Amino acid sequence: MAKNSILINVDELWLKGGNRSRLMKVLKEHVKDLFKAFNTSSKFENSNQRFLVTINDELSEETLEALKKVPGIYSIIPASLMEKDNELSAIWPAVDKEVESWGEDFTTFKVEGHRTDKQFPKNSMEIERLVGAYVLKKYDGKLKVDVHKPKQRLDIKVLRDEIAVSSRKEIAVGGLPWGTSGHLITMLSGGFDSPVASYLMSKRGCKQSFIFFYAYPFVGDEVKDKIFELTKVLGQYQAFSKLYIVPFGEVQKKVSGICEEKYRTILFRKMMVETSNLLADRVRAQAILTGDALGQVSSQTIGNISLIDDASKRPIFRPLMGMNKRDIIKLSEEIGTHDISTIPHDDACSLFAPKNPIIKPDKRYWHRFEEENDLTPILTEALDQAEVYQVNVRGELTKA
Amino acid sequence: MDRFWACNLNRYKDVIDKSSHMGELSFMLYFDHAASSPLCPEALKTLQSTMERDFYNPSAAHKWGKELNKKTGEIRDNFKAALKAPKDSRFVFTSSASESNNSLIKGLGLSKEDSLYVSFGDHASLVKPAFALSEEIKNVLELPLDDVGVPCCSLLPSALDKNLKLVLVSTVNSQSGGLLDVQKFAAELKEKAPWVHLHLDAVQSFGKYEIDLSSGLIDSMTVSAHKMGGPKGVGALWLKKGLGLNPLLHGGNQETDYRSSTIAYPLIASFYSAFEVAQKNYQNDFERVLSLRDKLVSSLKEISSDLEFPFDPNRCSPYIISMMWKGISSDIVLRTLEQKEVAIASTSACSSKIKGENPTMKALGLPTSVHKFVLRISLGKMSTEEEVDAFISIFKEVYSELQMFVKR
Repeated sequence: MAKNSILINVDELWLKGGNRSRLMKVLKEHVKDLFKAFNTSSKFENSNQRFLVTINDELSEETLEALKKVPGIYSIIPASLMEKDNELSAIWPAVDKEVESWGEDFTTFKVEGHRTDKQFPKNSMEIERLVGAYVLKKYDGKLKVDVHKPKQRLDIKVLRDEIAVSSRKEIAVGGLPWGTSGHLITMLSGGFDSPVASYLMSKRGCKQSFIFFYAYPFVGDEVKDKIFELTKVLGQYQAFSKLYIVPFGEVQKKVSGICEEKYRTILFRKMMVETSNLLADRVRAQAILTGDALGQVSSQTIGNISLIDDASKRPIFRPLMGMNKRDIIKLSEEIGTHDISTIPHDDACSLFAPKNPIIKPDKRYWHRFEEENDLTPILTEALDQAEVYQVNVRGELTKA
Repeated sequence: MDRFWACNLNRYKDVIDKSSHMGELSFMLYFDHAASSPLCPEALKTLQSTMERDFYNPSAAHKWGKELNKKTGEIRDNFKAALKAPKDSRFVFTSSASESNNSLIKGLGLSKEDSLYVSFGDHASLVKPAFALSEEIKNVLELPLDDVGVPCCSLLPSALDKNLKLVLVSTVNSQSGGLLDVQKFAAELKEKAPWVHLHLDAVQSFGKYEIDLSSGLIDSMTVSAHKMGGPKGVGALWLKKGLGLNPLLHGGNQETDYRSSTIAYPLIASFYSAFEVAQKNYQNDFERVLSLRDKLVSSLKEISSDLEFPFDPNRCSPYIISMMWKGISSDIVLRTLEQKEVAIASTSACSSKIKGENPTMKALGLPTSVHKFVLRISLGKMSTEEEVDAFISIFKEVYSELQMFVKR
């Protein structure tokens, strides 16, 4: 009897020495939750660098795609677990299934045998020879062996109790398991950059709470819908996350009324970072994440960045700092946020944009403004009024 | 308390503005009647009672069905009489004005030598079905408009082609409010081309202006219930005597084969109730709304000369005011008003998602650069002076609040 299984190889955990077992545990929980979310019952067996997961049904493409987005996984190998007998005769149905999945066209292949059970009477070479001969005989004319550059690799692993047969290997996002490097407040906008920044830090094992500053009435519902769509995609690289939609129109109106016009944009930026810090206090996050890239717009010059850093109690992560726009756009295509980011919407930034935004800010004006205007109460009020949503590992968004 | 607030008090309870700008008038202010009006109390009453009681199928063979069929026939005749239309013309109930326009345009059976004229500044339910025919007929021609968006017969070629089969016009343009002198237009057109079918979309004037179909110059007309105090989901298509039409809907042969569908008696009865009320008060309502409009326009002009009226109000229906505030996107003004519980429109409700160039406004002669600045403020028969005063005072607030965002 064949059993459906998946071999999940982990990524950087071999670097981690003493922490490894903890990280493995976290990753296992994430993957377990994911199977649960896809209504698949799963049984886990740990081995050194990988999990062996047995599931009751065949792995669906949908679940496979979701697994590929789990940070910390290096690769995923769907395999059939077959009964172990010394002559390998029980594995032929699984071998047939793999070979038939390669399609009708002529192709080349190679058999790769491994034994974790060194007591097994046949060694790797013998296994490879035996399986290769079976395939060539049965699929005469359709296949040829190529040991150097095969188009398909048929993998036969002799485990303790069973033999795993597979030929497909999917590479996942890699990096570190979710939440093992801390909790970030991710400042989302509707553009290309912040979703890509979020993705990069998901791969580095960061749990994220998303925050969006909703400039109603200066922008409309369309922008909010866009943020929902982006969060649904980004949430799939997280195990579980929340989205805070903070009403910001009144704050912007107020700040515009009391500041010099050329400081408007950079001051909004400061208000947003301060509000993100207020949220970080509440949800115990340790850093702020933005999609800034150096010099991209006026608020992303070194002078302005250092002012914003001064306004933040916590470190601000800017993983896109050294990236060119086209590289960012390319990544957004890969992670699935590109087509959402291109949906047109009203842009409050351009509405509020001063004719000549400040590039080299005057620190004296800045500090005087800070001393004369304590905006914490209105920022706190805005945060209190935030709409909160949660998104699960399947990317399903619901009101929290 | 006036009629509007009396009947809407309960329904508008949930939108009461907690911060209360206007003391006792702390309800929503509705200035989007050209998109849809609230049900008038009489229509609501009829709808309630007929929905409860008159559920029979008017095509049924039993006496209850027959009774409703008879009543439907009476309502049909009453409509025709009120429009001074001949008894043997047809008044076909439909689900909406869009259905009426589509039925007429697609049902006339125009052939590949034929052409038609349509105003590109008109409602999409005229323009789009006309363009849908462009593969099957020779020409879809643009009807020339004057500076308030009204079709102009004198701008048509003096000799019209024999293959020109259909001319589509609206009595009131739903964006500019431009008012067509129907009788004059019809007479001029028919003098040039007596063979042409003239179709009138009277949605924005039905129940507001008296319509007279006795001259025989108009061949068909579309009307709708929900812009004059009736329910949504019912309209009509009036057809001159002897006019054949290929029906859009085939089925049980209701409406003497012109439109198969179970006759929606409660909607039709409620539609007629709204019409009866409107008919009694044409003149009064018109004069009252005209004075409200004049007050509104002059007060808005007083706020600032930045508020412009691109279409001469004196040549427009008083129910529709088109206003332009250059330098600030109409969406932002709409949402700022919405925050204060005031409803207006930024472009025609069906196409408010379109950004940048708006084909309707382009056809109305406005340069693309100002399309996004156009607001539509529309009044209904239930609009009151208190509402207009409240609107002006709130608009003043909005005007000063948004000053710093106006791009000059």
